[in-house]
Amino acid sequence: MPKIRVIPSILTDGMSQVKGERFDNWRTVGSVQTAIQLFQSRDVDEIVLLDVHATSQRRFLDLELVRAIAGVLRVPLAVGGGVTSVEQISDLLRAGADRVVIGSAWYTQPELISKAAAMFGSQAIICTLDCSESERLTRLAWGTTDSAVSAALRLEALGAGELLLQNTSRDGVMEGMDLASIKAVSSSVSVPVIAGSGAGTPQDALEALQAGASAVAIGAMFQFTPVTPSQVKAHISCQGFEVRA
Amino acid sequence: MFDPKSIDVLDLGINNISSVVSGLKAAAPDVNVNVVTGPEETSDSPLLTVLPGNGSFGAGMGTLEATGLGNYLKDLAAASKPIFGICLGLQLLFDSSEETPGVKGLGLIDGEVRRLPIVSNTGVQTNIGWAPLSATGSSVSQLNFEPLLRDVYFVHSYYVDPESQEDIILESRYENFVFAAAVMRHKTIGVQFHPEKSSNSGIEIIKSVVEWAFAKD
Repeated sequence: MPKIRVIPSILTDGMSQVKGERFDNWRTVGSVQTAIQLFQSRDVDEIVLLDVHATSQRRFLDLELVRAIAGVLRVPLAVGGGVTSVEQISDLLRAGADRVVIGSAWYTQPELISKAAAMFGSQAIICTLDCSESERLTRLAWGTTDSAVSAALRLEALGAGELLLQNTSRDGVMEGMDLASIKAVSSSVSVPVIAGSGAGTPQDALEALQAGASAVAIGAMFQFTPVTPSQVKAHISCQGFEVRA
Repeated sequence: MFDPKSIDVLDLGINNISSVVSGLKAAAPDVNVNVVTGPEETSDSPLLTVLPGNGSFGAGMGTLEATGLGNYLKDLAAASKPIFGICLGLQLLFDSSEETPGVKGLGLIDGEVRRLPIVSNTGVQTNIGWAPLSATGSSVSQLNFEPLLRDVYFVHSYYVDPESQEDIILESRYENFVFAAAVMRHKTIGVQFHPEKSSNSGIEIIKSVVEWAFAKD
């Protein structure tokens, strides 16, 4: 089994680094490059960068930003935001991203995932699953009646290499992760599940791994609390999870 | 261009090589790093020539042949000039690959490139993630890797299988399957992992390759 990854997640509005609560109330918290350099100096395993407004503003993640980050980053980089075509995926990979995160587009055009997996390999494709609490954990945020599990199985069959599981009512509030969805999804698929949304303490990250996640994506906790990636790794490795040496 | 201390990085145009260039610059700050797309752009006497790469074996060989860089690399090897292959760049050093049957590789190291086995019930045949290295103790290793055996980052579906086990200097594991993580023959070295994506441990490995390349025979 590969080593457990602790992945800082950096959100951007296309220019600055932003943070929100429950996918809303976005505010600027600094520069993306500064955040990247800080995490690099803390020797993280991987970084995910998502443009949270790209889809709603009908934009596409800034290629120059990706190029600038990839030029200095010495760990794998996953990027996403407004990706709707294989040409855009190709542009992002050529700009230096290692993986591309696909959000709403996989729902409207599932064939994008199979095409992209065939062209670039499954390892380059991460799909997000946004769950919501009010819909009893397993409904997708944009109102489909699909359960997260059936969506996850479909994405795996289409060729997604990893799934990033988020929760729209827990994101950014640091009150714990959506363990029920993490457990349901990761026990149903064989591709790695990255648990995102809600970690406020190293213990929250540990619980996500115990629920079956292969990696944890952490935003607010690294932005707003003194907890560092190495403290999270120390906590999970005492509980028997193998982290990078 | 004549530069007594230069490294050439071959750009096959398949993917971004900025992280390889940046890793080399971090590992060897006083060295010129040139990105090269054809033999006419190469340095007069590079101390090291780096062949990075992602993508398929067939596409990589196609570009090497079309640009003339394939023959250039064979000439370098014949003249005992150091070559450093990374990921697909390592695989291209071999005779052929199961990924693209019928396409001849550079043949600088004897052996084949094979598909990783299915090692679990998931059906997944790609090794992605951080994994440890171990030294084989091969007598051909001229590198001091011992202090560097921290985890490194792998992304690959094929692995190299040299004819001579002595060519293998580092091994890693994909579940329980042991494969060659680094090989060396004469002045040609290659690694299956991505040192440029392997954080500080990767930079240390690049540094030791650069020091080996720059050392006088």
